[in-house]
Amino acid sequence: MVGKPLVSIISAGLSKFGRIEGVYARELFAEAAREAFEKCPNLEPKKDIKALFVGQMGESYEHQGHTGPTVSDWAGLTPIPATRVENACSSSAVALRCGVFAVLSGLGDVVMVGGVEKMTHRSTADVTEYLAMASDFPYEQWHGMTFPGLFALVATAHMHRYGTTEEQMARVAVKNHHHGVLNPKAHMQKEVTLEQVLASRVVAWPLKLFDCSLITDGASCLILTKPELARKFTDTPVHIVGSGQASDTIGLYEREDFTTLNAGKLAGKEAYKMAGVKPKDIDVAEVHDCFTIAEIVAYEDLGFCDPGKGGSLVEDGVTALGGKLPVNTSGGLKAKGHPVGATGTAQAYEIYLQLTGQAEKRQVDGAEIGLAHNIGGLGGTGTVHVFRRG
Amino acid sequence: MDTNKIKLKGIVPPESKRLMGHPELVVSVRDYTTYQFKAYGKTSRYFRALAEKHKIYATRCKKHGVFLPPRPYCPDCQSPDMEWVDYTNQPAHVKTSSICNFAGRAFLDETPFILGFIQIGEAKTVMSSVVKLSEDQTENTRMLNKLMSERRYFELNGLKVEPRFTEKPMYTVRDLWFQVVDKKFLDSLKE
Repeated sequence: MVGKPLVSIISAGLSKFGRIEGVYARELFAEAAREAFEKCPNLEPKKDIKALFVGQMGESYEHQGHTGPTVSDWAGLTPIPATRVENACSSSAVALRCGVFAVLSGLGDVVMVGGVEKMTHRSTADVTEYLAMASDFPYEQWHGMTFPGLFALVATAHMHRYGTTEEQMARVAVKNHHHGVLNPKAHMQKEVTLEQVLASRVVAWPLKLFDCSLITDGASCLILTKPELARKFTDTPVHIVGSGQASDTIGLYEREDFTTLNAGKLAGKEAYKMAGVKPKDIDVAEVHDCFTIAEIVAYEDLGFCDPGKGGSLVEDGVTALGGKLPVNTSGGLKAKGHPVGATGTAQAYEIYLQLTGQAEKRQVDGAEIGLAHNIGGLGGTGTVHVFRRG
Repeated sequence: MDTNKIKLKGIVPPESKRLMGHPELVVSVRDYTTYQFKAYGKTSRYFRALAEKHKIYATRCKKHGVFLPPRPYCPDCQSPDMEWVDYTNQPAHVKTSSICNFAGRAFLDETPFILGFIQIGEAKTVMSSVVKLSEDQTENTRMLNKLMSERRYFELNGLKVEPRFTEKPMYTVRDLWFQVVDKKFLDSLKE
């Protein structure tokens, strides 16, 4: 029996993802908010919404901190309390948890959560440096360590222990790019072939350009309420039935095992337990594929397969659309894009679409239970949510 | 005021120059600099030893073993009773590795370089460090390119390494790097 709903999602919004030129972050957030408001005509945003939690990773991109009031103003929500949440790439999944806490505590019946990042106006070298701020400063950043570099350390360890191959990692990219083609809001709506991925430029060996997610601009948001109030706003709510979060050491070097991200694994266990579901019950999932190896590790950490079998799962087509457990139907971070702070709630947005039958060409028929798995940094934070159709 | 005519100082990102030609946009560029300034607190001793004594110091908790990089308090029991121990001459090997072909602006001109996790002696954690196949950067790059072109992905993992120290210390982790000393492996990358 699936656990009782913690909170319900009554609406959701997503800005177009991509290289959005000539705007700043707050405009992107306002675009996502507008979609969520328009989709829910029974909601009076200014009157009903009692708090906003917004995930954003870096103030360096625009030299703009204090994101809470900035974006809440542009979404027309001033003077409600607006709080920025920062947990690297997991910022908005943690903002979502804050929203869950706020509704459950009774502080507000309707709460908005979301995330935003504006990145593409900076050079790739600058963005690489800013992203690296989510790794350990004395022992990782000052070696010139980058996120591709860190995930490459995971990749070689995984290849060494389990025999995972470059081709298997490349297949994650091919699959997610194929899904991205079906998503009109994805950054990269273009198929890639296995050969193209394998022949692309090395970024951090063995990870190549097409193994890496994209530097993207975008924003996302969800509107949450108490389950008993959900029907007042919409006929098609989606319930959050499980929420898990865990942490690990900030430095990868302080861990015992480099082939798994323990925070993601623990967050998954907590969310499954709360939701009363098992990995085999999941109909559709969004996992944190910031690099192709990360998706393979996520399969294993979430119990979709045994440790070491992630590579063959993607090879066998299990996680492609039409497979038994479609993963990253949105295109994932790989093709939909990875505006760091917006990613957590953007994953939840995709699950919301899937469970309400709005995913159009990429719809998973009869999807009842969905999961979103969001990693911060190199697994310093792991956040997992389980959703059920209302 | 026509933003295209503003005279800019310092580094002007090419992205901004392109956007400045846009008829409807106003684009502002300022040369902000963030200067890195941080203190290492109780682990200062480790960085001083690297730079001034060419030594690698670890800390040991009586109950929970040796931590390298050093932790001033034991991560397992929070005890401040940590003993500093010299780990310079302990056996060391690569646990996992990657070759960075791209980096943030500060390290771009050093690419490609190996970043490895180094297991030293009985330490409970590994050291992240630059690993070199040759001290000569040109030769190191040639060997790395050969390794990559032959797709010998994890052959670095498990190799024996020895610590080396820079002559002009910067008081960062880069004052220390590790040299691969496995002769058979190095020979396999010769021209």
